[in-house]
Amino acid sequence: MAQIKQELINPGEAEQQVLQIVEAAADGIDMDALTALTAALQPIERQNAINGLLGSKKLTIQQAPGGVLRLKVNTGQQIGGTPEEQAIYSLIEESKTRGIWIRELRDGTGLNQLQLRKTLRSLENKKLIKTIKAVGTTKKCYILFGLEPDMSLTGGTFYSDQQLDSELINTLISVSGSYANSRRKHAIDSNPNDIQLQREASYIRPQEIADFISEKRVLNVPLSVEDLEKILDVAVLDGTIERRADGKIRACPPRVSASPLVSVPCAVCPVVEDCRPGYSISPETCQYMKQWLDGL
Amino acid sequence: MGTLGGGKYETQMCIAIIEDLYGKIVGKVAETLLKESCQLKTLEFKLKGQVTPILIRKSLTTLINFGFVKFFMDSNRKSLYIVEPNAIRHVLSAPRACLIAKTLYGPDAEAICEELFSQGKLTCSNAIRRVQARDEQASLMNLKKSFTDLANSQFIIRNPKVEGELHGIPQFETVFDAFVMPNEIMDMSERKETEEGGSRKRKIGEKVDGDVGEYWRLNWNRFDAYLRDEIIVEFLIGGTNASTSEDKTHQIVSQTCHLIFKLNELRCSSLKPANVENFTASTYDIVKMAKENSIQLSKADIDLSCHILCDESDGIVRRIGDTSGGLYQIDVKRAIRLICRAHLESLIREQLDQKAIRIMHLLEVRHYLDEEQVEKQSMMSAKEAREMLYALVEEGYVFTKAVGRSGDFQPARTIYLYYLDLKKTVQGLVEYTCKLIRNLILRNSFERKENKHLLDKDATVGPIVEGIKGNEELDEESKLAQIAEVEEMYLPGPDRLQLDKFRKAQACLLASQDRSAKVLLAFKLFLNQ
Repeated sequence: MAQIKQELINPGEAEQQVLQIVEAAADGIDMDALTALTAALQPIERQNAINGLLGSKKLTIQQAPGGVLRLKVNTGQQIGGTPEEQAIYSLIEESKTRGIWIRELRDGTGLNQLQLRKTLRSLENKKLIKTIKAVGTTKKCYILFGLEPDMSLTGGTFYSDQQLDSELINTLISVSGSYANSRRKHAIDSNPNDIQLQREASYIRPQEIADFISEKRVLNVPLSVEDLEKILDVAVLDGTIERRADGKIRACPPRVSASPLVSVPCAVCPVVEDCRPGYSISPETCQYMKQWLDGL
Repeated sequence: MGTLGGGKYETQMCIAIIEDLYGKIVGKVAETLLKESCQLKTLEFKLKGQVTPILIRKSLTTLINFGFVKFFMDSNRKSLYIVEPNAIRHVLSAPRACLIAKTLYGPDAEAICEELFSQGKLTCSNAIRRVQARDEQASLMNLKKSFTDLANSQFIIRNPKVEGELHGIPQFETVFDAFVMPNEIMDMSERKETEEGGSRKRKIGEKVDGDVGEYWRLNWNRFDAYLRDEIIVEFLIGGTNASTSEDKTHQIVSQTCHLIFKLNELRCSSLKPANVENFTASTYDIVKMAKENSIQLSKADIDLSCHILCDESDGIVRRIGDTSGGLYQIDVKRAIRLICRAHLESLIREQLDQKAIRIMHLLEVRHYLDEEQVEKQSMMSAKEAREMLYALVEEGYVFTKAVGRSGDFQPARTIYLYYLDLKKTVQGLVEYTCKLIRNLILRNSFERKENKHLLDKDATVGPIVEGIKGNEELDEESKLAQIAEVEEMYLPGPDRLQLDKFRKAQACLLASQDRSAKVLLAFKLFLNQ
């Protein structure tokens, strides 16, 4: 019986070959594909090579959706802790700035509650991760220690301590409004005879307001134009400023005239629903009306 | 304007107006008819024990004379009496209508309008006679001219003549020119034998006017249309006020604005109720109009004004073409909508907060939003936004729409979207305004009752003072002394103060009533578009 000469390949070479193939596949590679690509290797050699790579943490195994196991290059940072710590750390690292919720960690690692808590505490103590409370929920999220949490978690510039800073927003709205207003006044005063010029000059770019705000130090942190646009959107809703198609804004003329409906006390009368002629609350004997007519 | 949709307070307002004018009995009859239109027999049955049949008939005559009740032949060939709430509403604008007549055609026209309003309807001869009885200086020529002016500008309208009767119900002529002046007035000629008037009681040979049977009344449709234009112009000019701080520019814009609406006036028929249709005006037309009315406006001025109006009117005035020097469209629908919105916002600002208006505007732009979206986009804290939304829903300014994730609309699986429905809100506001006007009328009549003794005294003092002034035997000094003495005797200091206070209060109540009636008109126009 003729013996087929088996080519001897040393373990190092096999490992190298496998690593190259896995590195080439961005999303990792499953076992069948790897077998097809490394047909030259004996099953036992392939197995040893993979085990070697996994042991030296150059590769990891991940479960893809559908239950298929895939080999992937281990891009995660090595922290040199216990395997549990490493697993949790990798998951948190993967979540990037969005953070990861404790239940997702449990599902991802398969650790039980007790182990998970212990590991997380030790990682926190090592200052490798930190917890963040997301805006609007009570969910606690974990992210890497050195990262700034995403806008969707913190809510952006206008949030402090996970709460919307209404005071700050109101201040910014009124500052923007009064700046636009003063510019409008200035435009009218400096061009007394040309209405076209008055109108054109009263339109300003949002950047001018941003510059004004940072110059006057209304805000401690720098205000981006995107954030200012948000403020201006609200001011447009309030009717204090109006926006032109090219993005320039100007102050709206103030509407002084109040509706005649509100000049009568019935507009804000707390007992208007119970008011009936001939009853104890009636228009004839109304005290609010009396005060109103007496005050003339 | 349809008569449909009178709510509880609208009815109450109508009753308050009728009671204020004609007293409780007529008010009661109107109230019964407002609840349900019916025949005379049914009406008598309904009011059995409360109003005697003779008074019911008298009340009905009054109401029909003033145009508040109309009658039709129903399928049983009996007359069916129907109340016209809109006609009653017009009473509120009566002082305004007289003022319009005065501003446009002088005091004689005002007097004619006052007589027509206070009598319901009059023949041209009688109207002039009544004015002459009031004011001896008024010349027949001038009065006739004023009457013709009013008829030509369609502020007054002739009622159809009675042509005969069918099953005891008067039948009116259907084809006639409602605005043409009668040829012979105040001639008191011998009644011709051939003329069969239908009034058998009148003796043959009695002297009558040439225009007997031709009754005129105020044309409320025309006044409504005029007021509508006035409201819109006010809104437009008020809006551009601040940006054109210069008085001259402001004046030019305002004049142009008036001219544009005057143009439309000439084109519209005032036989139909005031509408909210858009219309166009060209620069050429406006220039011509300015010349005809001898207003000093150059073409450049008009161009500039139109330009400003286009830019500042929030889409009410739009340039749509270059025909005849520039064609502009006036979006009346939009104007009325914006006016209603302005009233609504003013009300919300008083009742709730500026932030509620922010939410309203947001919902107007984005239509359907849930609580979280409102909170994010209006940059309010969750609590604030929720409270504001609930308050808005409670007051009927914002509505919710339930979108179920499952078929059973189980609350946990249902999303509630907030949205605006200006029509629905304005319907509520009409009721609100009617209640407000009702309160003003009731308060006014109450104040009048409370101060009746003072008014009576004041009425007695007046002629005495006049008498002293007219007395030629006294010199100036003793005249003044006597007047002071009489006044002090009848109306001592505190009473006089009280009377002044009452007069002020009454003026304030009436002014509010007039302004509210204008708002009500805007709301009604919005709902009828």
